[in-house]
Amino acid sequence: MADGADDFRNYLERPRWLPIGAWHGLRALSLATVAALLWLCFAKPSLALALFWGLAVPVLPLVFLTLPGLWRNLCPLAASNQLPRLFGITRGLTLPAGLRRYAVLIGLATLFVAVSFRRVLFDHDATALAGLIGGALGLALLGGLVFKGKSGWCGSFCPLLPVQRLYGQTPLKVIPNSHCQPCVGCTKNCYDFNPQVAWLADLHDDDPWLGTDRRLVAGAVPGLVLAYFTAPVDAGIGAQLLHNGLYCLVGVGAYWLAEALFRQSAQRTTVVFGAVALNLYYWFASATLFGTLAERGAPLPVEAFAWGLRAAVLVLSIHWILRTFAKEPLFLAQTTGQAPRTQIAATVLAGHHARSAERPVVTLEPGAKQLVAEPDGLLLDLLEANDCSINAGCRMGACGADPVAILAGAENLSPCSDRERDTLKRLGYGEGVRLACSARVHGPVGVHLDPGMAAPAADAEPMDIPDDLRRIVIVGNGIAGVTAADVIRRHWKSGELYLVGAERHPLYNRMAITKLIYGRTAMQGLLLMPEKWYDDRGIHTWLNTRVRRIDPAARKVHLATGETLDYDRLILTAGSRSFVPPIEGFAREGCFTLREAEDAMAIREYVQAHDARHAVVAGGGLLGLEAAYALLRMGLQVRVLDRSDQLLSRQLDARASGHLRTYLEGLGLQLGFGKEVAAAQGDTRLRNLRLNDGTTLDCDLLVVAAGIAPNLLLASEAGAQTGRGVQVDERMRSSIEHVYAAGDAAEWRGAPGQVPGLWAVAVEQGRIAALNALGGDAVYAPKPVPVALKVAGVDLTSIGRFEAAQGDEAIVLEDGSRYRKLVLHEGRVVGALLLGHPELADAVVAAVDAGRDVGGQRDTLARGDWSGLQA
Amino acid sequence: MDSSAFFQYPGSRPAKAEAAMCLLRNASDEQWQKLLAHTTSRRFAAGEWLIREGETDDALYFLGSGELEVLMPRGRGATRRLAVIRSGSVVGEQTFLDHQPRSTSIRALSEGEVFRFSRERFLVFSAREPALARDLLLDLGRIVSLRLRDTTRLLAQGR
Repeated sequence: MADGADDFRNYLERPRWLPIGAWHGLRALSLATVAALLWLCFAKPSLALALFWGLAVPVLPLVFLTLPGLWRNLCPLAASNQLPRLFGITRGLTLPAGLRRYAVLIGLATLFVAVSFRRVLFDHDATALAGLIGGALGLALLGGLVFKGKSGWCGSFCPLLPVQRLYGQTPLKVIPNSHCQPCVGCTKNCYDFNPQVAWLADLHDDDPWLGTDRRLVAGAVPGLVLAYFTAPVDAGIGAQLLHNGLYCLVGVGAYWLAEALFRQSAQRTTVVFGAVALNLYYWFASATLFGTLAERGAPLPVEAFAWGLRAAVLVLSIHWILRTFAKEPLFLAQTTGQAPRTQIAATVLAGHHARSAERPVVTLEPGAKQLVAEPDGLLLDLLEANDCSINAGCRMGACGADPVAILAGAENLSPCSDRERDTLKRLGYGEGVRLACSARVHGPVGVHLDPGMAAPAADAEPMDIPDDLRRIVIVGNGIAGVTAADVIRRHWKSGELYLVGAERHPLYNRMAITKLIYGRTAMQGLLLMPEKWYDDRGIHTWLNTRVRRIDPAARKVHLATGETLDYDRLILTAGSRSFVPPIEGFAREGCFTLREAEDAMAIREYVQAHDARHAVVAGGGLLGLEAAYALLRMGLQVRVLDRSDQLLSRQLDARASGHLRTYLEGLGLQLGFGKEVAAAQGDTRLRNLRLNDGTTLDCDLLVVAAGIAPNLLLASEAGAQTGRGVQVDERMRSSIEHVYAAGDAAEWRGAPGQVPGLWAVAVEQGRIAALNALGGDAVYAPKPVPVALKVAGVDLTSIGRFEAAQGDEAIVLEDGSRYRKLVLHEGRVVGALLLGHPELADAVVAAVDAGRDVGGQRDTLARGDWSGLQA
Repeated sequence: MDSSAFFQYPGSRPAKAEAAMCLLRNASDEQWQKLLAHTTSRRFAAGEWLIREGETDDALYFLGSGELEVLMPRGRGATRRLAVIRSGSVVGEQTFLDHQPRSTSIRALSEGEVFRFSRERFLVFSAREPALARDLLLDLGRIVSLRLRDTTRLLAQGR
């Protein structure tokens, strides 16, 4: 199996092939062999010549091609060169620049002269051969005595180095350098340091002469090979030099011609020339090799073996060409596309790594991803930070946007709250499912993103249904309507249940619609249940359908399609629409409200179609800020205008609002206070806004988020009592018999004039309306609902009374940009505000929910220790 | 072209390329801690895919430990290894900057851990630590620009 040609590790990064001691032993053996050869040169000259020229020299180029590292480690000249370093007697000088500059040419010239002298001298004169080998050993030793590392011979003048660099650039097996312990960095683009890259690095070096040397070598080698084997046998040295020199020049010329003609990279051209030279060499040398063996008594069919070797060399060299070709793009990609590095790897990253080792791991299916949780961190935060496909809405366990199946380690999650349990029940999930926003991770947990991987919930107890009840109609497909439908179906399997919704989508996560503005996914990520949810429960559903009229006397609902539905009980959950203050010219293109998914998609579409750059959001409430953040994420300049003097005036006090303002301005939002939009101006499209103070503001997109207006026309036309919404009692009954109302459209008589427009309120009212419609007796008892702002980096919780009223007391703590406030009434917690304290959110919400008496721990709380709230 | 990163001899000063590719060289440990506090950690096993070509996730990753390989698709499901990435490296800076889908896939060669810095967390980070965020962006821009310089020169050479 060939080593990866794309593995550019240097020798220090590769595992040792043999222990250093073994290499030393082998090198001693190598030196002994060469000593024996020298001795043979005098004792048995013909045998020495045959062994050297007939066996060693024909075999070596194949070694250079396949296992060059073997030779680089065992070469006796290298061993000789490295002896002074091994025994600590080298002067260790740096090779002078001039010599360094011409080292390749010196080596190449030496090779040329040595080859030219073969025919006239070395091929048949063993004494001269001994002189050649001995001289080379001496020069290598001298180089090692004077110059540092391998720069005195192996890395510079060695006549075979240019050839080894060419052929050894894509070994079948990289055998790392075992000489240099340690590396002294003596040679530029050192072959022994990084054999796979050295040739390429020269060709692409900033110093163009390095590449020129390499091309010269590649061009000359085929010429030199052909020259030697075709040289006239009886010519003198002068004729030999001339003959060889001309051949080499023809080779070099051919090289330039090839580059000019084929316009391939220097890497490709040099490699093809190298392969040609190798095949030329073995064309002749194969016969020599097997001829030598045959002469020495091995009974070989020389011709057949020679042809076999020629074919083998051809195949090997083609393999080598392909592998070497493939390296260049990788080399270039790595050189020009290096990954950025940090110098802190050793300390900070590793330290961070070590700390995370103690943290709980969430194993996420599908994919078995191992995510490391923050201590006590929310599962939802973890999943979101890892870009998992998970929804999020209220982040309080009320909307049910983020159910996940817990496959293992359920005991390592924070316990399930009542609110979360109710939501899971509504969604039809039983044990084994949690809402990611409500589960804190204490230990290892296995999670599947598909909650369907856990078992479904058991059915609720059937109720005693009144005899006259056959059919219930629900108007509205928001969370109040769907909750009502679900509750009814749980208790009443057989009844006829109709649901009419004006929007075209099944129930979706309205709290996350701003994600449609900047996210890449459309509706799919927002849907809270599939379309077949209704069919599975036998709920007859009309989506994208409007109700024209209600006839309470005949108990009929007339649809705008012309159809009519009879009802025994009617539940109105028609929701609300955006409230738009009077703005002149609001009909212009580019003016939007944001209430339904369609609105968000229309905004995204408009921004793209008209390349909108400047947006104004009118209204600094929760929705306004979330819309502004979404537009900011899309890359627009965004200005938020609010008519009051602070942000989130219904959720925050002035201090908290100030902190939030600083952060949002840091994000890049521009904020303006005491300002209202008076007119939207332009031609057909919005160009600028006129404000209440007379100033104008250029912009190409306006989003009005000024609150909600309940949809109460149907109810009022039918004769129901309405205020801001459809007025209902604590059983969600309207003033018309058998007609209930819930959700945004309803105004509970217990809090006249208030239409909270909150998801959690709609869920509870939908449930109460459903139970009472079935003949039960359920009473609405509102609880404070925590609200949060879904803007990245804002950890905000506001619940109950956030400003101390008469007779209340407040505990306020501020720490940099973090802020927390607890409002107590006669010692009981009635409200809280948290900014930058996600870790306290659960405790605070629970304390307000329960109206916990903390009068005894005022001092502790004031000192900042709020752990007692949990109790 | 500067290929000195392949010849990073021990004891020598960091190669020019190596130093140039260094992100936030002058940031203190404390500043790094602030940055890393905005990351989330993911462990991986050898052979696990961390990034798939074509994905649109635009986070920046810091490799805390382990070794990754960058794989370039070659058609018909085959891939070719483009590079090996060691701990301490930063991955995904191009998509982080340009929002384009990932151009390569990344698979783990060993077990290890990455710290993920999402675009969203970068926004938060830049609101909290504007100076550090500016340095990070300038540095990423510088690194990407240096690479473009190399690429431009390569193209100018006609290779």
